[in-house]
Amino acid sequence: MEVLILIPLILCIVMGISLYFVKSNKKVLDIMLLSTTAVTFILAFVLLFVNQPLRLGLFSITNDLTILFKIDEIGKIFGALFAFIWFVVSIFSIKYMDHEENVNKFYAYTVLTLSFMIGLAYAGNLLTMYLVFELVTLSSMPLVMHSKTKESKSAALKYLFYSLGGGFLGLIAVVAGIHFSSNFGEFVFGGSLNTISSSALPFVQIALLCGLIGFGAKAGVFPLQAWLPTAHPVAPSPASALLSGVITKAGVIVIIRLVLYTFGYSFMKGTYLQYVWETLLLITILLGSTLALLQKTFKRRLAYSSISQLSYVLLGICSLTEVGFYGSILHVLSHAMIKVGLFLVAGYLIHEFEIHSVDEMEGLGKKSPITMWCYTLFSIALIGVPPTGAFFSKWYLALGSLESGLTFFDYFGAVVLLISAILTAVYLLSISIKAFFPKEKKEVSKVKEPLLMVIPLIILVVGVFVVGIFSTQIIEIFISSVWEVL
Amino acid sequence: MDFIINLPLITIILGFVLAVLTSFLNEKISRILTLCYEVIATAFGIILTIYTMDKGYIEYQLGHLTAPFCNQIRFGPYESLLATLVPTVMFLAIIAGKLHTKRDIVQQKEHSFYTLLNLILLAILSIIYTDDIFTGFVFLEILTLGSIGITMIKNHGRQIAAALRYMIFNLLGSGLFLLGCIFLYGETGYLSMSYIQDVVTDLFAQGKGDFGLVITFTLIVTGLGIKSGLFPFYFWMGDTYGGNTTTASSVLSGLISKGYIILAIKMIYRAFGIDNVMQTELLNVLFVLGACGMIFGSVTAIKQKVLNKMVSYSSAAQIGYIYLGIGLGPAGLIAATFHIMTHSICKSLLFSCSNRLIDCSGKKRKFENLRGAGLVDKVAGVGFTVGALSMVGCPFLAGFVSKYLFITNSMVDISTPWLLIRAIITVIALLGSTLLNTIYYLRTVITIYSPVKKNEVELVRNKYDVGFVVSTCLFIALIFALGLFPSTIIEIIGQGIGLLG
Repeated sequence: MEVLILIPLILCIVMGISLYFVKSNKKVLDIMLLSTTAVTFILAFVLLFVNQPLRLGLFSITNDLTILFKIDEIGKIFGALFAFIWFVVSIFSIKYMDHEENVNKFYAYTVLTLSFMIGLAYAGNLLTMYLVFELVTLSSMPLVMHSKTKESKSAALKYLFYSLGGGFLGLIAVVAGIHFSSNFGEFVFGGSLNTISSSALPFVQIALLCGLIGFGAKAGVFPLQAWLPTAHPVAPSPASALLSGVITKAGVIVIIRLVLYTFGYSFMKGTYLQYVWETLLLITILLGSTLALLQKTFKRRLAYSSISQLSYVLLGICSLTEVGFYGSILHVLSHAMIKVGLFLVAGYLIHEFEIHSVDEMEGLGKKSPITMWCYTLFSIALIGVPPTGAFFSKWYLALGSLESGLTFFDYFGAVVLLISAILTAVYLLSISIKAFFPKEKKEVSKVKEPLLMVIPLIILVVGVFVVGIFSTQIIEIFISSVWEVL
Repeated sequence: MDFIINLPLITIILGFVLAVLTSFLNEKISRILTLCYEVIATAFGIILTIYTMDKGYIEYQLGHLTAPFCNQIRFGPYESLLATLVPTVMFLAIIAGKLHTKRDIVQQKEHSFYTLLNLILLAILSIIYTDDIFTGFVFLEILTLGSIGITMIKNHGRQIAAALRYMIFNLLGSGLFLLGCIFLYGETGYLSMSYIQDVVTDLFAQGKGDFGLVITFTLIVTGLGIKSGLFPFYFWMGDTYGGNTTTASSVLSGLISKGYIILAIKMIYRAFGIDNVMQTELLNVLFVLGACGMIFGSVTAIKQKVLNKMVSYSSAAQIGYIYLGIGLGPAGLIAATFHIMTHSICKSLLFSCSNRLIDCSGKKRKFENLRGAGLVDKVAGVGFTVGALSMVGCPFLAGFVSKYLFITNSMVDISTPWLLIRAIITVIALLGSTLLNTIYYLRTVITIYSPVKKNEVELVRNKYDVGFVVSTCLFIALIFALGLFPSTIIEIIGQGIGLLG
């Protein structure tokens, strides 16, 4: 039974490597990609409903450092989400990549990244998590520089620099976590920290702060957010979707593991760490939303939007309350689907009409109605209109912020969430308005929207609403048992 | 008495015999003999490691008198492990650079290149095994002469200038070391390390001779620091390491600098006694210089326009790591020793691959000419990438384990404010250096894998070389082995350090 954890990992690695070396026609590659992601999705979905805890130690690096995979509530839900999104995006990329070069390499790195993301979700201790986290960075870097232009190469280098640098900052927290925990950094909800002497306490606190900032780089948290708007837009659209919608969540899950599963929320509660982190997150939220408003390039606007939305997620964790945590998980689910959807819309526009800028989108509503309707629904969902997923998540996040017990920041956090929601509405819906109500009426004929591009969008729209409508059930079935432990 | 304890002496004498033989045999036989010597030395090293892990350290007297009146060899697992590493890396470096050796060195001189390599190997092995500071000095000088010899073996204007610069720094270092040895002899009356340590401990216990001993320690460690390229004495590295033929570059930066560091470690732990040294500020000074070296070495490496020089100056940063580890005390020494192994292997791999890549671009050494080189010479490309990733500290590779050990060992004891600051400085220096490493190594990796348009740059296809392919594969295997299963090595190092004092 335990071996079940490894099957998706190994499958993806094997398929990734073989895709890299296969030089047949694109049909074969497409089938390989689709079948791999589909099987992975099914496996991850099955694992979602396995209730007994699975734990698989692979081998020991030293006596106390082992490579360990285990499946717990958070891992299950993240794993299933990653596999689902990858499957949807791979459907889209079949059509999108039909004129690109080196398709096999692109697919290979896509599948490899999926493997490591699943590994990240199922990692059982800090060391394993860190190893896979770095591998995610390395395997997703070629996706950014796929076009091999000068711009994409410097963007890839920037991505690598921020991610590896941030990863190294995080390593400090990882080592401190392993060193000061009672079980060498194995994840237990509530943390496994030994009692720390008062002289060592400042060091451990600084180490954790390093981890929060360092791993935060992956999720675009201020002050290490600058790589995100550079790297995400230059990648091919399916890759931007994955990078912005899902790979950024790698930072989120790592921080959840660090804050709640290693150091434990009581370690951080009420200390200056919480205030510092909250300040950084609020700065990021406002920064991201405001800068998104100023962008003219569609994909850049979406990338900045990701920066602010990911800090929402982390804000819920930072509140260190049960409600905030639920909000975070729900927002991870909704934001992943919404942002992937939005980037796929951008990909559609680039692929069909070579549209990159927001200004060129006038009157698109008539040209390709299904896509633009999907776009509008995604926008509405991201703003947080009920009954979409993001409404409930934002509701819980605001509640979490109010319950956090921080002075000043409890109300301020909720206010910032509100302001940012308004900004989100402005920068997303202004495009919808342009698309459906152009300034000058021109006769445009409807174009045929390729099925392979529309289906993923529709799946994602449905997904967003499903998360919204069943949000209570999702929490009850999958997450609420976490807090019962305490 | 087992026969096995004779092996160190046999290795050293064998080296002398071969050095004499290779000086008049032709180059092909010289090479084969040298390679055989490397294999034998490696095998002996492995046997000794296993033996001493079981039996503890061995004291071996040369001649019929007992120490301090004779010359003594003393070895435990720590020494044996290092004595395994050095010939292994040298063997791989020789077969990796065989074609370049043939190309760069005039045929009449090629056999003397192998003479020098034999001398270098036996000198490093003697430094590792000896328990006598004067013997240490003698072989230090042999090592210096050998290294200057292989620096200028290419007989090229730039190399001769580099060799001169290298010689000046090296002789300065030797001079300081000799001065220190003389003072130490004057203060203690012994040349044998164990006896020196006893006297030094006595002197410290009585509170006498504090100042004089500190000066002596400083002279010795500074001398060895200059020779190995400790901050701020690393500016000779560029051409000395970078412009040379492949094997010479690998040996110079991967092994010879380590020889000096090993002697410094032996002096600190065997002659001075770590407890005595801990009472002075020596280790803290080494720690700070190491941390500076990590940053400044990397900054110098970034500024380079030439691939080989960049790889050379990155050594300055890596030497900084090692001294930082030494400065952290016995716990840090585990990390430092592991990094000695990591760095020797990675640096030799990087030099052999980067020289092949430079060949691809028609021997143009600048970065812009290297575009697409990794696609033409695939083995060199992969080798360089693995080496670079290991240097950056990518998981599953040897470099990650070193960095992990540095951080963990820096926080073993953070009970006083200085120890806390020390842990924080370690972390910051590692962070800075890792970021800078990322910039210059991965920039190169991306460059060598960027495809070029036809007719834009002419890339030359390299001659296929079995030796290079084999050695690259073995290097990569070693890096992965150290990265995936470091526990045995760490255990040996830990046990060896315990027996060192």
